[in-house]
Amino acid sequence: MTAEEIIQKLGIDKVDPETQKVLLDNLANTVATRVMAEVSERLSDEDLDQLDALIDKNDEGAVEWFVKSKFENYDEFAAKVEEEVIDELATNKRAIEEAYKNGESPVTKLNL
Amino acid sequence: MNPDDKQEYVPIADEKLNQGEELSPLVAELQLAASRIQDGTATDADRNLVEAFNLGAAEAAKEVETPGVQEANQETVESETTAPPQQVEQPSSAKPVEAPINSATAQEAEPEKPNQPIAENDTTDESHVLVEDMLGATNRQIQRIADDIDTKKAWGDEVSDLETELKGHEDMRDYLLGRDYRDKRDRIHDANTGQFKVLGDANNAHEESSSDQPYEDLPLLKDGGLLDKWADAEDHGDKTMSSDIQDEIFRRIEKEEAMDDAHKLQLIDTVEKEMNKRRAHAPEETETAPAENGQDAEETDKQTDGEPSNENPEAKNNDEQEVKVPQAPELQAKRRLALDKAIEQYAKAKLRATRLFSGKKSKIEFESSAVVLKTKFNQFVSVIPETMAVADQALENARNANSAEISEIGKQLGELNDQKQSFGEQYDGSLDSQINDLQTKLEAANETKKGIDSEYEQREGNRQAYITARLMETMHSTNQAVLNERARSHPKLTKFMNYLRSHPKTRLAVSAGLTALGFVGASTFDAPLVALATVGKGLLRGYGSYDLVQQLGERKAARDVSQSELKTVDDYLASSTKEAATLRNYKRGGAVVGSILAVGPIAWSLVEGHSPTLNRAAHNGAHPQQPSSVGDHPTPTNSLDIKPVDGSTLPWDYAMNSHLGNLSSRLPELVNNHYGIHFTGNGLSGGQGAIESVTIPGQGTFTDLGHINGAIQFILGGGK
Repeated sequence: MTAEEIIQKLGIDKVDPETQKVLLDNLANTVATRVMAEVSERLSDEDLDQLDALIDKNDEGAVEWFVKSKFENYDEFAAKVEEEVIDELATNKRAIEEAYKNGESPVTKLNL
Repeated sequence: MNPDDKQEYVPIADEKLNQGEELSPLVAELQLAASRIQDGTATDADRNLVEAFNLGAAEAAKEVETPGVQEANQETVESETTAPPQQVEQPSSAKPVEAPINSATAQEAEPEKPNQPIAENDTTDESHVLVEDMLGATNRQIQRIADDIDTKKAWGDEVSDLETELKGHEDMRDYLLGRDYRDKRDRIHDANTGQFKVLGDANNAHEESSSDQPYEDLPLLKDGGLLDKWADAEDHGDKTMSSDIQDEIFRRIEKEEAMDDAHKLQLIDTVEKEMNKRRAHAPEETETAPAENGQDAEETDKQTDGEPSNENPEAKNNDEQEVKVPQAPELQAKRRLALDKAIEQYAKAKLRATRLFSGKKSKIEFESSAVVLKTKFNQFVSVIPETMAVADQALENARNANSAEISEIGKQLGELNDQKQSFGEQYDGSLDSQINDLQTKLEAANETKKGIDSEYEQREGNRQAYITARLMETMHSTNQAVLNERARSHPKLTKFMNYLRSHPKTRLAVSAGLTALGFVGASTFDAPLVALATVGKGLLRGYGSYDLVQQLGERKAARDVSQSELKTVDDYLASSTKEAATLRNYKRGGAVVGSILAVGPIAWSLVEGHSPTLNRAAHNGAHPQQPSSVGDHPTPTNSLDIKPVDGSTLPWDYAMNSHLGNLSSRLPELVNNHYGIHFTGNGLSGGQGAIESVTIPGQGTFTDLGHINGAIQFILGGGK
């Protein structure tokens, strides 16, 4: 997804560019944190021991490979998390905007 | 009785304990007795109790070895109770003491009560042996101890230990006598009549009185069900019971596979409302304190739901009451706090539930915490539109007030200039200072107009940003909480995250597409999101009155917490700044808070619908007062009728002497007064007093105690 596509999907097209940049940075941070939360769930104690050893060796390539090896397709997984976050944000934002316009209580969703 | 016999049943009791089951008092007593036998501190009572238990066990074992008895009673048993078959089909190899516990079953050897009429179809002589011996042993001990006490008393010996022991046995006897009982074929008898009872009625009296009936067995809506107990718990402030019941309700709702999350949330709201209807006392809104103008959160909720608010007609006619303090921003701030708490509980429950050996209870807790979190999220989100509406109204009020102010100043200037011209060459310059003063005010009002116009231009964009930011913050803090909770229990995970922070190449490699696009954020996982208010232009500095109103709501919410600890104006401001910054997990930078504080007076005027540079008459819609005479020194329309009083007394003493109360506790009223009066202070240090100066609209800044005291009198005296 391009930045423009994300901006359209989130419905922040009327936001000034500076604020858009901040929002997208924050979105990247939000996605990264969720990705890391899910990665952490995949790593067993033994995995963390092995990772620990690789970190001590300061072998960046090995660290990356090890983490990605815990997923069938890491890039697909990361992209899916990103898409889910954006979808959730967009859905809830629409619900709030509708509620704002119509004076109703928003019906939101929260993926847990 | 061989002390080793206790080995036969102790493991069973231990097993129950290990499984988290509560032992009945009887079994617990047996457990203690066995322990004392084992460590050599047993009394006769202990030995008799265990002996009686084993006697019952032997009898029970004998019975299950007698097929005829079992078959003869089978039909009756099944028709009268739904006791698990294994309780009847106790294996003949059952060892003493295990049998009575198991045959007494779910009630853990519920004792039969002696001296009750035996039911007609209860033909076995053994049926009451066990319980009779239990009670008999207890009664014998009571008698023995009572005798010992009498003897010792006769010799003047200390008897307190014996009396304690006696009390324990008497409690046991009362317990045995006070319960419905179950014979060893699992037929349940009424405690008073000895007649059979149908399953479900058994032990009701006891369980209702002690509230130990499992919540999972209770109906939801029926009388005496979960909602009634929940309401009762709320009425009595029993948070633990309330929480337990809510957990059970959430668990049931969560299990409803046919319902989606939205319907589940609606159902939770419905259930809560129904519970509140059943309360003996009117429920109080726990999320927010009563508002200064009497508008409570419940009313705000109604407004959120589209219901009209009940305006107080008296308040409408009261100038003081008409300054409406908005509830929605404060409510949003408080709901955010509640949401944060739910997030924290969810993260902890999630970690417990995903552990390798997590039990069913952990999983249920996790499911419940997820439902609670969704509920709190929905409650938080539901106030966002209302907060935006408050900001919209505030901006509209500000625009109207600003427009009226510009018009009024222009009118006064016109009159003064006309008068000046009318003097022609005779003009002595006496009106110049007034004209200059009004021109300065006009420039300021025009600046305000630019800011308001700019805000209107950016309205749609600000709205988009505001909603997105609010949602992103909750999402981010949820992810952070889960990750942080996991990292707390896995130090090596923390090491991995620290490694990613210092190795951008790897971080980029394991991040998602946004990072590849160049949007990196803080990328430290536990860093706060960047506050949007750091960007943007214009009078409101941030991304609009939405954010400003929200910040003010947070300050107002935070203020409730620490009012009592405030000592000086500076303390208040510092506290307010600190709390605004720390109210949520995602802290905003100091510069942002500074900017919010800097526009604070303007923001309050936005919220309250009037400009601090306008008089209250203008705010109330009346025409600003005209100068009584253009030739006089015109009193600025924004002046307040404040006169210096008692210039020799320090403010704190003045307030006390004037019966205005302890100034420390009323500082928030001074600082956030509705009149635009501004105090500065340096605290109590240096002997200068807490308040150093006061700026009164239309009059200027004064450092003398008379004006400071006059302003205090004016504000705390209700504008008089």
